[in-house]
Amino acid sequence: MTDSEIIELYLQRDERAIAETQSLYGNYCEKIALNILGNYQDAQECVNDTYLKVWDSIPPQHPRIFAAFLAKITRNRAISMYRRLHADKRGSGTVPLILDELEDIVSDGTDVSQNAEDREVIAAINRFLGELPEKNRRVFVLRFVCCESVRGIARQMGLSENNVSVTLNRTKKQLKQHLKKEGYL
Amino acid sequence: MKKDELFDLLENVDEKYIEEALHDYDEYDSTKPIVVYEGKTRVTPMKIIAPIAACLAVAAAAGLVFSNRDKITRILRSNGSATSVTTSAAAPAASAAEPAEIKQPDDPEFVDKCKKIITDRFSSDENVSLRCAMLDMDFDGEDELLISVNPSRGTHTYGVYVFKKTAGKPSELGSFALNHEGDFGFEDLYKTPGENSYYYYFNERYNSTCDKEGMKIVTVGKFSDLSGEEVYERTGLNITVDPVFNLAELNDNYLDQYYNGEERVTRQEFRRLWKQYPGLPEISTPQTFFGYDAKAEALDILAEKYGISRDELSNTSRSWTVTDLNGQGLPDGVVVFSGFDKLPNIYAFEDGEDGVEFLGELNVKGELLDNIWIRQMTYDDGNGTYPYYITAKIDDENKSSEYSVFRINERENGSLWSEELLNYGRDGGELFFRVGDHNAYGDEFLREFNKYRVGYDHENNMKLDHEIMLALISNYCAHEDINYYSDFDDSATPEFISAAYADTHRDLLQDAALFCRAVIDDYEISLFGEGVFSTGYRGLDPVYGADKLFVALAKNGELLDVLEITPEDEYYTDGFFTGFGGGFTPIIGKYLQVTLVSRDPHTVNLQFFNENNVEITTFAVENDKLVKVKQSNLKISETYPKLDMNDIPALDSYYPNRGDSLAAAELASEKYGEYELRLVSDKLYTYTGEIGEGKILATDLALMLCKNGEICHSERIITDANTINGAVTVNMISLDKLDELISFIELDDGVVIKVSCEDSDDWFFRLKEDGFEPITPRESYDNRVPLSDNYTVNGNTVIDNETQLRFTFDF
Repeated sequence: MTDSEIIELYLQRDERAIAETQSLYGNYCEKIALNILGNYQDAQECVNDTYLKVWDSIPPQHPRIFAAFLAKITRNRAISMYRRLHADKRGSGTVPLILDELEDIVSDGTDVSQNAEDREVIAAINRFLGELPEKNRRVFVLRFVCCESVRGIARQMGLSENNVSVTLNRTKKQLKQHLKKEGYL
Repeated sequence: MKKDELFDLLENVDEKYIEEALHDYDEYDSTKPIVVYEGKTRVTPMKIIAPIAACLAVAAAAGLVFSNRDKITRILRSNGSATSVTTSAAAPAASAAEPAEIKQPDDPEFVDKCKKIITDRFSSDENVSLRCAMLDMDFDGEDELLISVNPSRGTHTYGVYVFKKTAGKPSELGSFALNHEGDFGFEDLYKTPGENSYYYYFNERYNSTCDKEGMKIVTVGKFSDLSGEEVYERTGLNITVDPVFNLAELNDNYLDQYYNGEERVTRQEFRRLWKQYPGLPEISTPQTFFGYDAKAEALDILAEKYGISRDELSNTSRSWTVTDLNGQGLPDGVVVFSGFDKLPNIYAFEDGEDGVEFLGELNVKGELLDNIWIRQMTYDDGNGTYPYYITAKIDDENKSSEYSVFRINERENGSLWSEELLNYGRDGGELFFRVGDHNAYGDEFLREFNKYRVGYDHENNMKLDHEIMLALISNYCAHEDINYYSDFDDSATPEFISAAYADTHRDLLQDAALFCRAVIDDYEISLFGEGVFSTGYRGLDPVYGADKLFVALAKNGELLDVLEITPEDEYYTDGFFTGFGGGFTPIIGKYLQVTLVSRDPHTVNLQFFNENNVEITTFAVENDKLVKVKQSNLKISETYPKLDMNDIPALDSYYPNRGDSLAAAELASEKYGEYELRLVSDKLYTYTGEIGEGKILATDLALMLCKNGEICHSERIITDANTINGAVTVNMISLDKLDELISFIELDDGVVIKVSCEDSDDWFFRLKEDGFEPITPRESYDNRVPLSDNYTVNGNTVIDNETQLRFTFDF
């Protein structure tokens, strides 16, 4: 079943939509959730939440890229669950590491401008990503959006772990400069 | 929470970039199982809940409509899968303190069906012992059938298989591959010291114990429910329990128990321990298979290729062996099947990036089929003459090749099966050699093989004489397929010699071998060993020796000069290696490196390491000849370029001394009066991962005191910091602290040189006229002088800047 057919099932409120989503994207969502939560059972529960969220979101939404839409919802649910589960302790998963890494970008005492609309900031980030070489962009998105481990990125993209780390470090610096240049830092 | 905000914002990056990133990302492919990596361990979590689709089907049949979380929860709970919507903390995992009840199976017919599934995977000549038990593994209220498999020979399928009864039919949930070499199932396996039992980890929630004779579930509990002390009490292992995935963190004490204690680690145990440490190359034996799925896929390909039913292949008498294409010791995918009743030849497959690929086949009569070269030979082991075959597979670009020697054995029924005896090849220009460790005749075949190669029968003496050594070197250097590197390469780790494991005796690996090679412009400087042997392992590090060492100089494939450079000193004459019957000389391998010093004139350093010493011999190339140069004659300014952070290369591993590296560089310099002090390193790495990013790992440090541009005193700094089993010395240096690496401290009674180390005590030297000397005992000095940014030194008084407390020392 194609993405558009699955979306059509959602639009028709046909419960098979979830079954088909599970069939086509079950592991996909679980992997993203697992990246963040670091616990397989939590990830499974998160994915169930994702299905429910998708069910509630379509309609009215009509995703342009269903896979990316799922990834974003899964990420959102997983991060929410992560924060709930780790409200008072440092837990497993890659979130603490990624937050540490992101701190490099915003660590000089300045803040993401409170006056700037979030969408302007993300638009700036999107412009930045659009100018990156594909490899660097994939590495960045896999790490900071999909919360994939450095090792996992390296393995999947056929790079050395250090190459991934160096790419991330350089991209972070470039992003920081870009956000500064655009006046958001 | 600025970083949190940014983190959240990133959720909204353009979807096309997310799609781009995840495109072809096969671990997100729902047709494949999720794989969770921890270190080098690969774990395939078992799906223990009913798929939500099935739940929804049940819900739909029940007329339920779900539109919110509560309803989904109720639906799933009604289907007995409540764990899927409750938090994991609330999952009804059995307490570790309350072992689950294990029952015997009560449905013989079901058991037989499941057993048949297992036995069909074995060759008919394998005697398999099966034991069964019932246990509710997925906590759905229904017991699953567990079958432990203990084959009489071979190890790849030793494990526990879990079957669920679905509509009366067996449904295999998964397996625990107790053979940790297997790539399928749940593979973490820990042997409990002093007990003949195994401790393994299951689905990140349960742990059990299984003895070799069968299966005995001792505990079922969530790992995170156990404290480290409890795990230790139950298993004897020191395991960091939280987070759950860090099961592999066996601490050094445990390793020491094996490597320094009375108990010799078994090869199997060693391999298991080896795998716990990320970054180490995998090692394995030819028997190891790449996984049942790939094996099944290979058989599918074969069946389709020859129009034979899959069942006919499955049920036939067959055997397989796995070759090691790149010589890393890992059976990286080439598997050879033989002995099919319906198919007479030997068939090779590769489990590559794109799945299983048919490589070609060998006719046992010695005919070449497809792209595999074969040469038939015979060997008499005293009990009869065996035919054996040297086979070769050469890649399309002719950059790597592999030669394997197979012995063809015949069964009583006339069918044939092959056995890999040794393996030799060249990967990217590097030679490697591996003798099948299950083969008692490896040396004999090796001799035959060398005879074949160089046309020289060296009869009673395994060692090659110098003439033959030169012939080998010349043969190598003149090889037209030498893959010249574009720049200096110092990958000196001789992993191509990966045959011997922790044998307690000297194990001759090869008459001659290339250990490392540096290609510098037109020149190729190689280090060869003659009479190469292994003394086993020192800690986790393989140790090799050679009777003689040679440096060869080649240019454009022509051998120009050869010098014997066998060190006079015997290394490892005490301590650990006395157990092997005395010191061997020299120790080479990872304790030897070739580094480029300069290009004009071309100069290289050959460095020999042991735990107490670094021996450096420097060679220059003059008129196409190798000339030995004393190190003290070299000027620092000519030998060590300033460290350029842009040159920091990629590192392929967490593990130091592996992966790419930066050649020699000057890390820091500091002037004091007429003196200039320089800290140089002969080997640099960037360091990532668990220890931290943004670090430089500098090994082989030297402190050099210069006066008027000339070295007036130099000294190697061999630290005990971050020592890897006492054999390799390294220092961790933070990138942002390079300017603080070395400093002069004026005291009342003289000047002290301080070298800062991030992860260890700093080093101190007392400045003398045109020289310096270590302040010893260093530990004592360090304890007395807590120098850091928080302290100010005034004469021999140290002031704590925060408390203003003063410490006065009498140096």
